[in-house]
Amino acid sequence: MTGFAREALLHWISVGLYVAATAAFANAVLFVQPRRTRWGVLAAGLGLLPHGAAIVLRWISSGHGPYMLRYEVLSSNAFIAVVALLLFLWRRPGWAALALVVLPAAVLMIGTGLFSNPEIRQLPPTLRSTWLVFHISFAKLAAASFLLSTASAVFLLMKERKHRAPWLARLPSAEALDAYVVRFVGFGFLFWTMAVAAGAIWAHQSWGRYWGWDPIETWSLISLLVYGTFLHLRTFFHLKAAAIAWLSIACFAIFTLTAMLLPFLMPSLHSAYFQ
Amino acid sequence: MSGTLTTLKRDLRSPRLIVGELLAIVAASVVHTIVPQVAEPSIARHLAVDHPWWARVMRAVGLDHVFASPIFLAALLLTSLSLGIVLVEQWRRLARVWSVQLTEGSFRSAPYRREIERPGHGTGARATFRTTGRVGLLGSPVFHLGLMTIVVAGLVQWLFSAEAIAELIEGETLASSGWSSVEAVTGPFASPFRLTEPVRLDQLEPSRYSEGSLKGLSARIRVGERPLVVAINAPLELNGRTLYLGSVHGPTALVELAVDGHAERLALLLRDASGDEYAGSWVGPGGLQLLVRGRLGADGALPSRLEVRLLRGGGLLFVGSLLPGQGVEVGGGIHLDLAGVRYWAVFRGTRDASTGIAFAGFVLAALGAVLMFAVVKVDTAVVVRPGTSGERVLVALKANRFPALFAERFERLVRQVAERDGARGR
Ligand code: HEM
Repeated sequence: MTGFAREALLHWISVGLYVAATAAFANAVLFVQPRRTRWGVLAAGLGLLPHGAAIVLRWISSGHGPYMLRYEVLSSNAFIAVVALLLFLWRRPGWAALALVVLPAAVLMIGTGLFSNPEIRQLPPTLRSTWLVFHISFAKLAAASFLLSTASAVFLLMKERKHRAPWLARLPSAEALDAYVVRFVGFGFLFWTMAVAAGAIWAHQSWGRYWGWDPIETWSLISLLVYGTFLHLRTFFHLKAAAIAWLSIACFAIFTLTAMLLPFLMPSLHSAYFQ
Repeated sequence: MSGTLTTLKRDLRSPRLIVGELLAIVAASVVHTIVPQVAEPSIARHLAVDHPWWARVMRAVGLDHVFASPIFLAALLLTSLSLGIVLVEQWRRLARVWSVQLTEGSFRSAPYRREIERPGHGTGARATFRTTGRVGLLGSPVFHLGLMTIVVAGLVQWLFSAEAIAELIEGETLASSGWSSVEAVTGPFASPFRLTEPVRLDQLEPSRYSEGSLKGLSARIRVGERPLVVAINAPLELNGRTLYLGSVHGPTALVELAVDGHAERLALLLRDASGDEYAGSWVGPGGLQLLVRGRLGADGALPSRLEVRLLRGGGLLFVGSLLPGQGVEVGGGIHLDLAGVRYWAVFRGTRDASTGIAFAGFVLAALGAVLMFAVVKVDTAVVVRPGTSGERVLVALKANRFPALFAERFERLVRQVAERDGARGR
């Protein structure tokens, strides 16, 4: 079996476990069986093992962390999102419904990654820097936080509907969901601020300038400003919970565009590393 | 007069204006990435040819130089003024509320308030107030101070910084004033970039992965008489200037061309043409044209031989592969010598007083963001009064953000107070 075939197999096993975990969480949430969330947590936790092993194997064979190819980036983002979900559920077991958004998103990311070009690319010299570790780690943590905020927003919208499914009563109150939308945006905002700041310091070391209005740099600033605007709107005006939820989903769309799509589409100093 | 100033301040602090300012910067940034800017002349030229009407409109509105357009600069100025006013207000408010003494009245409208009865008869009425996470109050002021610092850094950079690039061949010395003015950027109040001493490139040392792509690049240089090393990601600080090595480099063909006894020494920088192939050309008097190309070795080593073509008026005079040190008699009084092959590399020099300010801004913004979202100030009150059969205790909690998320903590506090642990040791 080739190196990539082994990684793909491990990824598909983790996809299977995440799908099983989603089913278990759905069962627990929809049929109001909180004890069954244990099975969801167990399946998702088991899924992390082959998933983590695939990432480690790739790390060893490529000689660098998961940040060069779409396949590596998406797989590691999915990993962090599932870890963040399980950590959060450990502290707040009542929030099992979040898994119904986060796990399918993780499966989608892994699937998209597996169908992209997996050919190993070596790290260009500018990427061989300690700042890369900070830049990438904070960006991934930001992505996980924004995803959790989007999941909270989706449930908030479902809860706000007139005819809502009975299982939604199991979810935390609309006020708590609303607070979590903003709290997760807050965490994402702080991680994204750190990712941008670390990137700027690194750009200064590599390219001789801390800011160069490169398209991906500019879009990362746009995402930060858009989330900043969202936080201002929420602080300044008494917006309805549904408006907050929709706005946070729109912000996430822009963030996804910046972090997941544009680097593969726009000619930029950054995209040279992702294609 | 003071009335006008107050109105102006109030207007600049208006939430709608602040949101509008942020959206204006977002819009300008989006335009910058999707509309070809004049700084990219080749794309702009295409646009002018393919869509002349659209190109004219964009120029008129300033969309093709958006960050230098009067509309954007006005928005930026307005944003800075709003930010300045908000900062003063935030820090003043912080000084006021930092050490405010809590009283029972502070909890009148607390989202969590409950009166409970518990057995026992204490020593009369007593109240305990506690605050945790007070540093969270610093979050927004520190974050916005960071933003302001970054704006100041941008201004300082634009006005006072200078940068330039230089292409150096191994063995070549660049005079301190010899930096190219072609791609130089010099601020309105800055003098053109120059180093205080000449720089000589002694040796370029690229390293490659086994499959051939570039792994690292460093250069042994001499600044004045001092031997130093500069590498990608390891710039050199030289008397307030910074010297960088980029990753762009290639072979140089050192050619001696003698025409009718008149010798010309040429240094042709061969640039990345495709894959590992590097190519360069020279056009001389009398329609003479020299084309040189070669491939780097599998390990990225300099080409062991180069393909050389010499033309006159389009007619081929010579084509052949030459080893370094090899010469040929072309005929017609022309002699061609490939004297040697060496590396060339691009160096970049900057003199930027804003770096320290910008880094301070990044640190403040990051610290402010952490304080803003990872620390929440929570005030609690436990007020005990003697009751008819025991004690009546008021328990209250208020958080300065996300109040909905503190229900559990409040219930814990109530339980502790009911069991007296909450009051213990206070
Ligand atoms: C035009 C410049 C700006 C002004 C005048 C401004 C003003 C304000 C004000 C008045 C607040 C309310 C909080 C308080 O009073 O302490 C606030 C909060 C905030 N601002 Fe700004 N701001 C500006 C730019 C920005 C930018 C560029 C960002 C980030 C991209 C940002 C991010 C935030 C955040 C995260 C909050 C906290 C929101 C919350 O409490 O959840 N601000 N800002």
